[in-house]
Amino acid sequence: MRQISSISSLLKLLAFTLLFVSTNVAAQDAAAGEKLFKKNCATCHSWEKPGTGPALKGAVDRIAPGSYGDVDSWLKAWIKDNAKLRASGDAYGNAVFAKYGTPMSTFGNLSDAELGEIVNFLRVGPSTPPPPSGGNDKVPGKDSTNTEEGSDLWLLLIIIAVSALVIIIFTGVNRSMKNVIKTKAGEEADEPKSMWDAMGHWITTHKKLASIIGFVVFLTLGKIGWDALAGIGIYQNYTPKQPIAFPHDLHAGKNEIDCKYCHSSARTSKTSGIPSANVCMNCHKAIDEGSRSGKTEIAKLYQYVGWNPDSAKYMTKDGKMRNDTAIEWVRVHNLPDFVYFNHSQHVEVGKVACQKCHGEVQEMEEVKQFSELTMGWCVDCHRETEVQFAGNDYYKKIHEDAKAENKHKKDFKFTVDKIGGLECAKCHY
Amino acid sequence: MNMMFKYIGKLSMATMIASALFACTSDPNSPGVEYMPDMYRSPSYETYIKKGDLDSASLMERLIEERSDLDSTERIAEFNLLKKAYANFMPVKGTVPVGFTPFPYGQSTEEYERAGLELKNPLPLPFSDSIVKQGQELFEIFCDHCHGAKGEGDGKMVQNDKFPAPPSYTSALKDLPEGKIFYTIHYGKGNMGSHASQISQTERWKIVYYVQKLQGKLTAKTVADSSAAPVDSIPVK
Repeated sequence: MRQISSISSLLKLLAFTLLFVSTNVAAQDAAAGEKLFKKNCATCHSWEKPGTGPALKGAVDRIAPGSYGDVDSWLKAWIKDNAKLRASGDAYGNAVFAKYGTPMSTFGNLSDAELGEIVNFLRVGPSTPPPPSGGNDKVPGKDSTNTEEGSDLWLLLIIIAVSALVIIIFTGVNRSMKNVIKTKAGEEADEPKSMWDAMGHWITTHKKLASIIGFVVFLTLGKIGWDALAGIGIYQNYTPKQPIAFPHDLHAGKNEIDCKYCHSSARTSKTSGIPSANVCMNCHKAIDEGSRSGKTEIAKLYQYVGWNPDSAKYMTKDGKMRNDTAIEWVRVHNLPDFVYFNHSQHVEVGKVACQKCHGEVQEMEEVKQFSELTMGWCVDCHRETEVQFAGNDYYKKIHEDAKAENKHKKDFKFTVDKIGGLECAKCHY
Repeated sequence: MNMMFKYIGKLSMATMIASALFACTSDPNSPGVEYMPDMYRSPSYETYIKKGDLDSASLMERLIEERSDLDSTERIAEFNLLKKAYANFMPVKGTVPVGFTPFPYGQSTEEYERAGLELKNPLPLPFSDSIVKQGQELFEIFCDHCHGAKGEGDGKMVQNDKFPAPPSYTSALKDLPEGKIFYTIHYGKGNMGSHASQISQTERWKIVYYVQKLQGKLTAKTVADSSAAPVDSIPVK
């Protein structure tokens, strides 16, 4: 009896070990398969959602292998050369092709072992991705500093108000105490004076000090007033809320997408161009979840363009694409109408980096106006910036003439103002 | 004298309170005070300006003048529509920019294959850096965040696990003909979207050159064989 039980436990152990080893091997296979999958298949197939090709979750259970007998050999044949398999009249293969319409690439370069690894991966599925960092990904202190600044100010105001109250109360108490003493001594009590009277009295008795304080107050107010007037029409630090919380720091910073990918017309035209939504959809057909706001903000984009992420198709309205809602981005930088500014002139010809005027946008979660965009600011830059002559034959003659003319000058710099960068009519006409 | 000091005292007190209040209202959502908006705002339609941002009265006047076919109810409806609308409308159907060459291929698998066979790069082949370098600059703007600097499908987007890896130019796409490369930039393929709105046809052909260089196809020899014509003489826009 004892022997039997020990044998059975031994068997159990053996079975367990075998099971463990075999799953381990399958997992290893699947890991290799996942790598191959990412490299070769992920362009068109994802695990959960249909893309160019069908979603592959549960594909091994869906497939009807037909004349191939088992799913493994069907899949291998399909991946290797799906056109051949379809030509052989396979019912399931032709049905899938009819549904998705795009023929799959052929993968003759994959060995049988590699195909096996991929099939193994299709059974097991992707290894669990690391949990998204979610809200912790925020730029540290971005939001909190704003509110802190506000609360600091309020704290200060409250402190001032409380101390003023305390002073008033104590002067009141002081006066009534004095009055009590005076009445006890048989004198007539002081009538309570108004604050203004008290102040006037103080000023007349402390003329020197009062005039100094008055002078300081006058200067401070003058400075504040002057700054306020000088700030009219200058929108520096303007940070409007946008209809979709588009994070430049993720797109241009973390993912290193070039500014000119989306603002492509900065290279060729006057305006830098807010990208039309089709440019967003170049990537966001595939990316429906952001690392910061999850699905909410990207869902807004889908709403605007009429994209249905579940069916991976544009919703239609009367057979046409929905295009009745424009995304009303709030313009951050705006030059007055009496100034001419051309992006392509600065970006392409002058080779000025976007950041020179717009600041480190790749680090901004919300875009704000970085420069003051005043005429003095323009002119300063035109006085300092050297003209890019390299590879620009347009200025060749001027450049040579000017070099000859200014040969005797030490440290001669060919700045923008030397080719008319300060002419009024260059920008105002 | 006393009265005057009193007056100054009152005045300075009031202004201090007022300026303190103003200092509290610096709202990041408001651009600030604008001086003479009629000099700042363009009376003509500028890019991305909502028509409603223009003076409503002059918009109505214009409607009355220009659209005599509308009765008053229709005019108000049109006015409300225009007020909401942006000035970035689609061009009238069938219009093309000056110098634009239409792309004579439809969007289907057959057309993709046909483009692969027929479509040839109209740019000359001076491997003398200039064009290929321009192609490289464009590639770095439009392609390398996914395709990677060397086109091996390892761009920053892929590294960050944001986007599935595109196939490599040196393995799966090694023999992709130039016509198909151009076609793919125009219509997109798989997860890649159409880049026709961002990149002009000439620019696309320049990118094709650079991609071919990454494929290892453009070598000094192929260049020596080709007859180099001056770049300026190319009619494609």
